[in-house]
Amino acid sequence: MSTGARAAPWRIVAWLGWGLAAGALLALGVLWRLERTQTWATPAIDPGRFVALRTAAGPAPAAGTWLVALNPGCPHCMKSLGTVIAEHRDDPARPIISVLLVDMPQRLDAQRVAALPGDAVWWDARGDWRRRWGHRVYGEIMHFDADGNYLGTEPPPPDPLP
Amino acid sequence: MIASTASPTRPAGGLPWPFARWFLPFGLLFVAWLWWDVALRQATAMLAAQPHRPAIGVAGPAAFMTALRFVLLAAEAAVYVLWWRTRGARLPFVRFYVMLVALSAFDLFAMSLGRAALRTPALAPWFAPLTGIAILDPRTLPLGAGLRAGFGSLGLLTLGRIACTAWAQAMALGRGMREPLLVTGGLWLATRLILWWSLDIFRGMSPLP
Repeated sequence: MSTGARAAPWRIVAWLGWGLAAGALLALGVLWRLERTQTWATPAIDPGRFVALRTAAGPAPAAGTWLVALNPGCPHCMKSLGTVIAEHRDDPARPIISVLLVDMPQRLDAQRVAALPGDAVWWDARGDWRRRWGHRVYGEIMHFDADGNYLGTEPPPPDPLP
Repeated sequence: MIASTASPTRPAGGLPWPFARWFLPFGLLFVAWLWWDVALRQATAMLAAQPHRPAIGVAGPAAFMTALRFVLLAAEAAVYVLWWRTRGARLPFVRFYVMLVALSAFDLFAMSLGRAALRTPALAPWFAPLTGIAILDPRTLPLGAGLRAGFGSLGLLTLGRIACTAWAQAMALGRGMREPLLVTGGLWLATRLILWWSLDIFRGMSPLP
């Protein structure tokens, strides 16, 4: 084992490396703390903030509205939307199932909007979903009552077990 | 440096091989096969979740995931070797790596209990002391998804894996258990905190299953 003066610079570099790793862990912890203590806005279907690309006919039913956060580039959340719609296809008292297009700087063209399933399609052009509400998982389902009050968010349907 | 008291089963450095020498390739192959089986299940689930089934089969991703597992175990061994080098001691990489591969049987066993509990949920509370609370239905113990992912696997099997990893270092270095336990426990804690905080930052205010 090498010792003394020859080993010293290597050791210093190694200790610096460990210190850097500990510092990175600390920085991650600080970032996490800042994120968790930040005050986020409550999700709301606000026609003044979203762009309506397709609207649902008639008033909201008693079952309210479900808003599925969707990015067309994400096949998993497209599947999540398909699952939600399929589960409620034959339910006469089903809620309005709306799509909220998120993380899209450009408006989706009319042809692709028409191809999307769901009763209504909103475009979150300002990025509220991510920046004001602090939400980040595509495919999640936000629940609102008939008066538009936010009830909570359900995670995307789980994948099938192997 | 420790004076050598080498024998065929207790070589220089004091850390024995995890299996008898003649059985070593078979033992390692068996562990690799168990990880391959886990990877196959995970790859099957991943591909089933895709709306448009890709043309590749399950074997390719499963082989990649198995190889990745062994690379990660090598990285884990390298971190310990580097730590002890910084402290001025030599931990034999290959022997310690082989020991970590063998000790990954703890993780495999915990995973198999987890699968059994998914098939038979009534078993979950009985397995939880071994596997940690991640095995329980999240509705019965509503922790955040990040905290659950980070520390949900803390059970007797994880504690056993930490203790055995520390023991392997103590044997190899001819030291007591105190410092190896602190190093191993500290590294485990750091990785769990990284997982917890990263997952929470990734999901933001969105819930996870």
